[in-house]
Amino acid sequence: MKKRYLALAFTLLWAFLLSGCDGFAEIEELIVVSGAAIDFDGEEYTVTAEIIDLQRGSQETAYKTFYLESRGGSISQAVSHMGRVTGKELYWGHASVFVIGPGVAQSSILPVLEWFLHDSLAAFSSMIVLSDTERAADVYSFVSPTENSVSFALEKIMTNYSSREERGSAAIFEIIDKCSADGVATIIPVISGQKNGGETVIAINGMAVFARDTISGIYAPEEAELLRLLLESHSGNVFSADTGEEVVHFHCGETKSGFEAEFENGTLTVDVTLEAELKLVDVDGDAGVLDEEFLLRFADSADQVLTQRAMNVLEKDVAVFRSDILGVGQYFERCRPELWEQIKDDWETVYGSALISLSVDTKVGQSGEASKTLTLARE
Amino acid sequence: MEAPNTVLGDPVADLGTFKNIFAEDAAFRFREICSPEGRVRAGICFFDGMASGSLVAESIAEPVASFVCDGKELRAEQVFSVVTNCELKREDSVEKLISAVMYGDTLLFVPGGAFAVGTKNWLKRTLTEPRGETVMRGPREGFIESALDNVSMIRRRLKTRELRVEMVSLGEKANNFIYICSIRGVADERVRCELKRRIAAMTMTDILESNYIAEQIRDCPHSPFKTVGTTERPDSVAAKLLEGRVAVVVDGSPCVLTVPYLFVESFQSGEDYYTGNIFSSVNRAVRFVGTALSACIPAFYIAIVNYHQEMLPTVLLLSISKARQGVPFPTILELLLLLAAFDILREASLRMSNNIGQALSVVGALIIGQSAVEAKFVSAPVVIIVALTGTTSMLASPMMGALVCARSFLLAMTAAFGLTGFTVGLVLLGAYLCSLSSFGVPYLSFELLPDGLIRRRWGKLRYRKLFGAGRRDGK
Repeated sequence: MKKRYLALAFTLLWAFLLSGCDGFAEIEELIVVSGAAIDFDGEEYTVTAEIIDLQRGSQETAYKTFYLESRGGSISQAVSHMGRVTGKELYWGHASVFVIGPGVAQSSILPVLEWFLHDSLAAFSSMIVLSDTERAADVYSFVSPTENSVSFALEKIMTNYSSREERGSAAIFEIIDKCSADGVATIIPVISGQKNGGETVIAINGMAVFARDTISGIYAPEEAELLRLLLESHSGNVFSADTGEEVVHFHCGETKSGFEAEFENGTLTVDVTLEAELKLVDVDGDAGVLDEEFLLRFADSADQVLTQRAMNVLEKDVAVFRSDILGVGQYFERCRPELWEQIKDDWETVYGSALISLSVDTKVGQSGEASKTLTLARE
Repeated sequence: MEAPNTVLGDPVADLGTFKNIFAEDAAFRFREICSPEGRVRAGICFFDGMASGSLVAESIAEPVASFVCDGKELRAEQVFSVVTNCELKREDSVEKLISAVMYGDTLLFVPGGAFAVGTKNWLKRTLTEPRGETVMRGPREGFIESALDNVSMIRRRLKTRELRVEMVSLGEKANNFIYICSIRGVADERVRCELKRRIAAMTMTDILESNYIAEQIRDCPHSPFKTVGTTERPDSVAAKLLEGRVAVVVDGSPCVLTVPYLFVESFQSGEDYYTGNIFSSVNRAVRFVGTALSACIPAFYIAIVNYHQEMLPTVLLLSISKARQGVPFPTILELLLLLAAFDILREASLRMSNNIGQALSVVGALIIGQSAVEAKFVSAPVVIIVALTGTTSMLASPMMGALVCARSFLLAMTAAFGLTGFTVGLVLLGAYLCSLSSFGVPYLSFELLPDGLIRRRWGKLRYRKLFGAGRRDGK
């Protein structure tokens, strides 16, 4: 009996020591942060937190939001200064999207990542996006048609956007993983406001490419779609191909991309392959969609369109960004570490003079539900 | 004057002895049967309300009176030829005669001896379906307070000469009878002997209900988990006897005890064997899961809401937070208050008469469900948690007492230590259950199949002796 009580006492002591009993908080007392914008002007960080206000909610809207801004020499300092206004610590556990401004992107995103790793209590599944406005906090002046909170709206947009991406994810743990890896670029979505019926709504507007921790450049939205195709994902974008007899609108289903890289005689050669399944959306013309000749014309044209546009993306990365979006350097690090040791210090130069070639293989998949396009009866 | 130990053999003197013993008992009836010349030839006595007056008259008084009316003397040796009653026993011990008459027998005093004649006819309840063990399909008989009738119900289902019914008399004042039933060759003899030893060692022997015995013979007397089974259904007892258990029928109680009792039996019902095996397996799983939820839900809610809010989806977090705006009590206190209110309502509904019961349920729903939430005394999520907890606690009624203890323990651990405390509490609870045993059989011993949480169909399932192996004492 004595042993039982001793065992029980020991177990309770162990539970007390290992538990988070100092993390107790009543749920209604939490100051819930839905997201934050982080700016850097060269000297100070400005953190603008979007906070959920339940008390001002109503029958129609469950909650409203308000914004707290504070400054500090570091992000942690800025966040701690917010306590002077609220009197309590902010709850970052449900912060979904963090927006970084151009100042942060141009100086370094490492302090942001460091803050996530060491100080904040934000979940690692939260996302980082880059705003193309003057300040990241300007994002909160935009509206969303579906949510009261800009951060929640952004979360929905980003979740849908990156649902099937492997290397385009904006999740913090992915960003940290890529930033800390050699030989691969970090890609972060860019958001901005778009005019829509008198209001400015928030939308994705391209992809930013980071070589290590600073921004190399931004791909426009059309280029970003091809970037998504190249990174082994699908793209929801509808492309157009002019076959000479009709204009075919299509989008790509399952895509596979890969590359083979060789470094010989000081020259890097990268052969990229892209396999895409084409799904017919619309045809401007009289073509019968099951017609063999039409399908051949369509496939050839789509091939050309995809090749040209994907090549533009790759060439821009090699010539302008030099950031290695495909992860060629990472390939060398994993498969040919001795070679990588030799070239990693000069990788930007080596990659910048790489010879890129692209081969695209397409096949037509779905062709819709009708075998003929709709035509009006002629009198 | 002290009563003699044995009868004197003189009907006048012996009847006088009993008249003295029961002088202050208004229900005691006696009669002298005299010959035509006025000599007392025999005396009878019984308790009004315990013995059947008509049976006394037809089987004792009439034949004896007819015998002595010719002037003959009825000797003890002749009683077996005169008295027509089938239950007739000669007894010389005054104490035993006192026990017999108080149990409903009629005493016949004749020159040379005394007899106890079976004339029991006290008022008994009609057979009804047990309220706590109702079934949709299956027998609807339930035990009553008469032990002999209960034993007869068991015997009707087990018409085998191997059915053994041993009678034990307990208590100086209550002088109650209990019957230990088992099937020879099926029941574990060690369990039966251990049961008899524990009954003999009881300190409180004036037994009025079977729980008096259950609490004194059980393993781990302070444990909230019951290790002695109870049932009011004769079909359940018959089934348990066929599985090798031993049953204790107590006079005056409709609840029959069965030992050994396992944890899994709390989730089994007699109806499981009378409906299809798939449906009954699902029902058992529902009971098991529901009972587990009843123990864990309040603690898990506290852990998530007070310590680990990151585990909640954002929408749910905001919803719960908004619901708790303005509530003055901490979540744990709110939960405890509502659980206490639920228990009060449940207990009050048992004590109330049927007329007031309906009004009470309306009041309870209004007070807890509507007004308390609108007045911001409690929050709606906690009301839902308590309602779910209370409803699921009824799924396994044998576990209700243990559930309250387990739930309170987990709540205390979680309120202090968060999810770690919840986990540690579950582990400690599991370890405690593993340490329990019932008459040498580990409490948690059961098999998923063929008749554990899932029941195989009849044809693949048969009664089998359960307690041959796995005893804890290593015998």
